[in-house]
Amino acid sequence: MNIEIKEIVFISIVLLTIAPCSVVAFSRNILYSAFALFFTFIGTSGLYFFLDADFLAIVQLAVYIGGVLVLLLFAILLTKNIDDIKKTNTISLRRSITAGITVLVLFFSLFFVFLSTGWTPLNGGAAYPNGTIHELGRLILSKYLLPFEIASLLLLAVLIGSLVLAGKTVRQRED
Amino acid sequence: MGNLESIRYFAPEGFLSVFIITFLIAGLLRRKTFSKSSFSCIAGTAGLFLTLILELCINTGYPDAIVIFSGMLKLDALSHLFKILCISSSILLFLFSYSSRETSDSLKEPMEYALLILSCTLGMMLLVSSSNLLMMYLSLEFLSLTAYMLTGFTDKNEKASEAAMKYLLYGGAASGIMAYGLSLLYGITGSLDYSGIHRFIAENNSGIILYISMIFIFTGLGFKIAAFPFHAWCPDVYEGALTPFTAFLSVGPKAAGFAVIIRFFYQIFTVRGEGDVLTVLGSADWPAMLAIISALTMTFGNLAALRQKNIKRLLAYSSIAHAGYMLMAAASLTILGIVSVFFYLSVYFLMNFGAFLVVIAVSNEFNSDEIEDYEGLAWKNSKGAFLASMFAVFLFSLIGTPPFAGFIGKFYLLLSILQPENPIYWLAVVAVINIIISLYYYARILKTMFLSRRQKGTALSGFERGQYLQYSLMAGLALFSIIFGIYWSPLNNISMLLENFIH
Amino acid sequence: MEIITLQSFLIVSLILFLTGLYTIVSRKNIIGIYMGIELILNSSALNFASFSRFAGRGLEGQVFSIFIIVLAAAEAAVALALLLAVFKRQRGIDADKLNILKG
Repeated sequence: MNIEIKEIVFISIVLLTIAPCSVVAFSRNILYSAFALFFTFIGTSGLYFFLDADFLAIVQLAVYIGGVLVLLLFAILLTKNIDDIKKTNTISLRRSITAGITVLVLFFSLFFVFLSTGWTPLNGGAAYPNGTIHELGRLILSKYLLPFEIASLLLLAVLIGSLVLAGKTVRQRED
Repeated sequence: MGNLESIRYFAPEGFLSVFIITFLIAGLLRRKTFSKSSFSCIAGTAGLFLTLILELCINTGYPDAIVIFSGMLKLDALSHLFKILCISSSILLFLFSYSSRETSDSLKEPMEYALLILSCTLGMMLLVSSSNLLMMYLSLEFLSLTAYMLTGFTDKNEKASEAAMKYLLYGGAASGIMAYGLSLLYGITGSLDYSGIHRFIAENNSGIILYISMIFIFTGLGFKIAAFPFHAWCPDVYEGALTPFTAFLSVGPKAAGFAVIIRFFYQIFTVRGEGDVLTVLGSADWPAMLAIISALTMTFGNLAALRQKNIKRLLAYSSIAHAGYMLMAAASLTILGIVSVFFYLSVYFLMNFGAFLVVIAVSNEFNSDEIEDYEGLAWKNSKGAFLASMFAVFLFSLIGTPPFAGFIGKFYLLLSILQPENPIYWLAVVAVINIIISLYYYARILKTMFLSRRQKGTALSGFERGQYLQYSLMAGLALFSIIFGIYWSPLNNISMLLENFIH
Repeated sequence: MEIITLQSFLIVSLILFLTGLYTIVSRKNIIGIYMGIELILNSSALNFASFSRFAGRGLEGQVFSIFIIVLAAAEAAVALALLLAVFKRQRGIDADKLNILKG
């Protein structure tokens, strides 16, 4: 069995993605969870490169890490006293046992279902060696034009709504 | 149909989008005018009225359905009727907010409030007509995100932001699970269009994985209609949000949720055979799944409603139970089932909005939503008698006693699961038992209002000049609940348009 | 043995999904719960991309992934705004302390 470089890289990226998940799920310190999430997101972005989804990988880096994760970190720092950060992310024992059992059952059943399903490739399994940006742009501006425009209206609504929701807080602090 | 030709059919939604942006710009330029909540509410109502008129004039998408924006939206009887229902519920939300003192006192940013309601309406309109998984997911999120923000909008009430946070956490989890299910469905069928998925499933056998993806997807859809076990957010959000918005939440988004459930299951996983008999397509027996969930939902909703002390929580559990009744008809796999879901939703629109309007009027008086405040309401003065009798009409209709519209609605729902081609007798028995259970808690409110003559608590003020809109809305809703209980064929004829929606 | 297959991507995303589910159910901190939601969304986006690549389902899957990422960002903004509103009142963001409303 000869393992190529590509596969070694793949396995290490998979580990980079999955291993920090346990920190996200089990750490008692919320900052550790947030930084573990950072590695998971980077790992996912690496996996996108293996899927020939270069644009998606960049978006993942820019939006998830640059946007969502930074927002999460802001949320943590704005709302927590830093001194008791070690006990900030506690786990409810009763719920975690139920959740653990459910998750294990789901894992094994879905695992076997995924392996046993055929997933018949359509169109002979297309790969995109020349990058996907061109094709994606064409798709978004033709077939998926409406969702694209609606997403912009959604972002507008979210912008206004969260300004009001958060702005109220700021204004009341000033009073 | 391509993008350019589609715009003509997209007029109602397009107008609403343009209106939203104009409203925002005008609101920024004329902050003073728009900061009066009455002005914003009236402007919003006007915009929605124009949208409604456009929808009535332009979209005659039946009997032949029109697919626009390369398969993103499908305009047919289902989308047309549910859009009208959703727009009307948004209009009522504006009118309720306008007439409720709770809202006009606590709204500091009425322009943004109106803007979010308009966006929410746009989300619902897109949701009921979307026939592509991406469009469906996007508009579902559109609706959810605006609903989270509207729930947490007030700062008078300390429960609001907490309720909104709970709503967001439950909703985010549900929509995440749904996205995972959608990805599995995409993996199985290789298509995002409903028609493409339908074609693939008709030709291939996909096994157990289809069932799994369907359960995951139903998590997100069931969350929108607050079906068991995805209902946990419902009482908290109903209690925490402003009462007009609670009333809206129990009708508008629920109607949109039912529309998307019907479209998803009946357009993809159903075939219409000889003699209009519907059969399940694919390896997943979804009617059985829906039937079990509906039985659980109505039983849970009614049992939990029995011990509520807060009227908004009671109505929340009652709305969960009603979602169960409607899901029952959706599980019937008959055309009458779809028709009766719409029929019941429009009746439910009348009686639930009416009941909440009484709650608004009473809580404006007492500043509280506890059931004990209703004690002896009927005997306090003429206004008390008016409110109590209106409430009685709506509650009798919710119970489903003749001659109120709720009776006809429930009758149709039960009839649909007893159709000869696909009868589910056990579910009908469960539903009847549930209707009997629900009698108890509705009757308890009636008893508190009418039978107790102890004049406890604060006195009631008389009829007020500025509140005539509220009274006339209440009387109108009650009148229609009675009219449709006696002469329901107009509503029935409208609902019958849904007959041709599956091809 | 082939390693880089559709199945291995599916299993990676399954693990992400289930970890997210576990996190949502077991955490008490609101941000902790929210991280679980992000993991679930991430796993579904990964699933879409892998079906798009391996099973030859066209690029539509990747479009869906992009939209999932956009919606996740929008949701995070709303979550942060609401979190600030909740925090102002409670001086803490323990989800179990959201108990003015009894569930």
